[in-house]
Amino acid sequence: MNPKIATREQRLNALSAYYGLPGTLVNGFSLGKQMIRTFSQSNFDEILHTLYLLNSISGAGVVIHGARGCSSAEIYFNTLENENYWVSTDLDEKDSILGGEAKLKRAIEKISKHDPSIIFVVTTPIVCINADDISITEVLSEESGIPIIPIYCDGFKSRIGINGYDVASHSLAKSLFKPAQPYEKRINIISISEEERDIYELKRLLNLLGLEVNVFPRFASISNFKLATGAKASISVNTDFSDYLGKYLEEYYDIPFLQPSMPVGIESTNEWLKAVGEKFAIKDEVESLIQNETKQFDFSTYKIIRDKKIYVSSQSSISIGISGFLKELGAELVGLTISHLDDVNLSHFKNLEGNFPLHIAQGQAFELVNILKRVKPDLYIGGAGQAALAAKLGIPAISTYRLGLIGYSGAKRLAEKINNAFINPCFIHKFSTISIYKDQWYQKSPNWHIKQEVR
Amino acid sequence: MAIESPRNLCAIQGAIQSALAIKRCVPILHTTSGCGMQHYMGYGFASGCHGSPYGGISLPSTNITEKHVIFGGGSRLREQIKNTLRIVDGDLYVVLSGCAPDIVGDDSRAITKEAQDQGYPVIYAQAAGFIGNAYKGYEILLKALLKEYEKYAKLPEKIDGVVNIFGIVPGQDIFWHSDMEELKRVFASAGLRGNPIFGYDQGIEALQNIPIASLNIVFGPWGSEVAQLLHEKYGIPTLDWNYIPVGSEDTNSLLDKVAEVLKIDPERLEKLKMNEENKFSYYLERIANAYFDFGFQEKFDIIAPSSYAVGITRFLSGMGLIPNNVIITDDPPEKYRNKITEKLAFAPLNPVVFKEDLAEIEEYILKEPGNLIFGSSFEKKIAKKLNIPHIGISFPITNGVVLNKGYAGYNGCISLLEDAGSILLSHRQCINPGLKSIE
Repeated sequence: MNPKIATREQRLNALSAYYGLPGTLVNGFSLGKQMIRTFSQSNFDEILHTLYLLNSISGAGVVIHGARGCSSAEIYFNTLENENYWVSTDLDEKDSILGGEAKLKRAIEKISKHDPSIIFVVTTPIVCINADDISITEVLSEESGIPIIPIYCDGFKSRIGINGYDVASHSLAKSLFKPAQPYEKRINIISISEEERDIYELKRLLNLLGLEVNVFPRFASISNFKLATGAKASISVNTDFSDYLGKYLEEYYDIPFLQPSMPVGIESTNEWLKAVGEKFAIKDEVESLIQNETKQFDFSTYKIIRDKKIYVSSQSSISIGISGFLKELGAELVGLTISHLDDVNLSHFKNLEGNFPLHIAQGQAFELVNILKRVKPDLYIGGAGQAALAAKLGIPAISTYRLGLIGYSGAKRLAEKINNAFINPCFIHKFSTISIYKDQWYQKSPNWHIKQEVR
Repeated sequence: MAIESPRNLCAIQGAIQSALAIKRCVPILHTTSGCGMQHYMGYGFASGCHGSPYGGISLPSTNITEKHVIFGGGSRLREQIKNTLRIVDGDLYVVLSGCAPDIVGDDSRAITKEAQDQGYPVIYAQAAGFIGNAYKGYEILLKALLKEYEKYAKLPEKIDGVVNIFGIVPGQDIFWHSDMEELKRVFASAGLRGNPIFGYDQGIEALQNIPIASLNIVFGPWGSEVAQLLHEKYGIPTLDWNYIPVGSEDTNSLLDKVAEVLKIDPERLEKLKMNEENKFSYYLERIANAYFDFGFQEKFDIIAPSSYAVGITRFLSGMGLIPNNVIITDDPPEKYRNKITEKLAFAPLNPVVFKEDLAEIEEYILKEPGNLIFGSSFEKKIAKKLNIPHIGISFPITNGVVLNKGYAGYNGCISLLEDAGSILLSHRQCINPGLKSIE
């Protein structure tokens, strides 16, 4: 099997830049039509997504094969996520001409001293452009007895950041899935980026249904991968992220892959559980569980949210999930930014209500502020590093970063956070209103710098 | 060689951080999309939760893809420069090229020059990640700013008493903001005009004042080359102070030395020094009992870049603490290493070493550990293992917010005593768990 995979653009027709009515886009969504930006801002690339995923694997050591800057994010991940070891090969000018094999060997030796259960070697643009040979990983793996898995990240072939999850998923699947004894009560939860409390919530609910829950790759150890091929079914959490591994298990190990919408909000969580109930023939038990859980959520506590106009900006599946929940809370969705569109999530946007343009962007703060100034929502719900942008425009804002949105407990947390933002919006008035953009930018259409790619 | 948990980030990240530290300066990255975000997650988070309006997801970046790598990204850069100038409001724009376009051979300098020739205040600095670490990036940016000075600024009229402050590196030196502010305040008290170049309200005007300064002071090994450039081009003398002064003794010496070069009214200087010393004595009096009763006099290990490693060690030695291991992490050039060791004055119990690799640092400390650790958040692990107090003074700090706190000068050392004292105190509270544990 090929160690490398094609990009999301190639495999799933992924699109990363757009601003316009969803109808036009969704109906005209066709193969090979790519949109690009003539002005852009830095965003989370595939290397960052790969590192985020790999870092959470239990006992993993990560070697980042490149210049030292490519490992800066490890400081962040290691603190806020999972404590693991990492080594940078610290490639310099000379290495970029002569190759960095000696440093790679040294890096693997260094990290081996910590007795990791598994070593990942992540490549970066320099290594890819120079076509550096990293086959030494096979030799060293045999010598040390520690699995060393190369992860072929380019950092520039795909514009879609989550391609990094697919790249890592592919290498993990190829190396770690082995045929296992089937167990009919086992369900795989394919979790890529969920918070610990999210996983706890899903485990709690499924355990109440008498199921054995196998979670991976998030916080997984090698044994979780081994158990995966013996499950009765796999289920996604974030439908975009889980896609690669779920389909891999289906194709190569005949494990059915359930792909209900992301369980964000009461209704979606109910549906997610019903999908499990259907597959495991425990519909009655699921019905009973749902009734018990949903009666604990009191919508009247959050009546301040009713009829409020809310803008949502997040990764695609999460945006869909939050939008659904806002509808349950009686709020009105007045704008939507999603990270990307592709064959996997397209159908969700066919049924999007509301006559507002759909914005597709990862980051791109300049487009966000232009849109927000026009839309003027009562509240902005954004991901990491975004809420402050809205606040500076005088719009109450919340960030969903590290909140934990999943399940019934996630719904409560999200509702509380939105509630607080409406109860006390004082903070937003403390910011300077000076924008870093010139006035003339706000007069242009938000998609001024989005053009069709000329091949 | 390969480095475990590197704490000195790469050249382009250092250049980005320094550019963002200049008011209304807009970096324009010509590189793959991840560089800007890695900067944000490194400096933005680990230097005290440091955001910037032009940084993070607002950082202009060409985000080059495969076709730019194969066919060249020059036209993408040209387009990005043009559009950044159109929509982002700034006084100065700095094009920074990263690893990928540099390897591929894009002539970013020539493309930037096209915009310069049309009269735009845009300059270029080559600071790709593989060129070196963030300290190098800081130097590269400053050199580029000075070399291309005429393209964005006119030489203003000479003002007396301007003192350029070099060697304190935004981001890598966690308390850079406050330390520069304190030095500025100290110089102002002496009738001079400190020019930190980076920080609050430091924009084009601060840059314009660099060539008309009366003195350069370099507070560490980084920035000497820049001072040298200024000396060659504008005849400005340089004082190599080599470390950040912490406490009244060292700040007094600094002012005395500066007074040899610049005109400071001697009476004013004496009054200033006396006032600051008295203020320090007053505060010291307040914690005198705590110092003895809670055992502040300990052997300590310090893991920090040169500027703080020397400055803080000197101050703590002056407070009666005993330097045990001094590990310097910023990989200074060979020619500075002797100077650093000399300046320590009070010799540490173990030889001063220069290390960056986390495993090597931990191994060295474990040979003969002290009873206190002053270091980065990476050192918390070993402090926990040894069950000793840990005080965060160097990059990365992953559990703190740093706004205008610092340890330099007259005011800073009081903050240092507060922070170190607080941590010591709370650590002491845990060592008498009560009789229950021995029942």
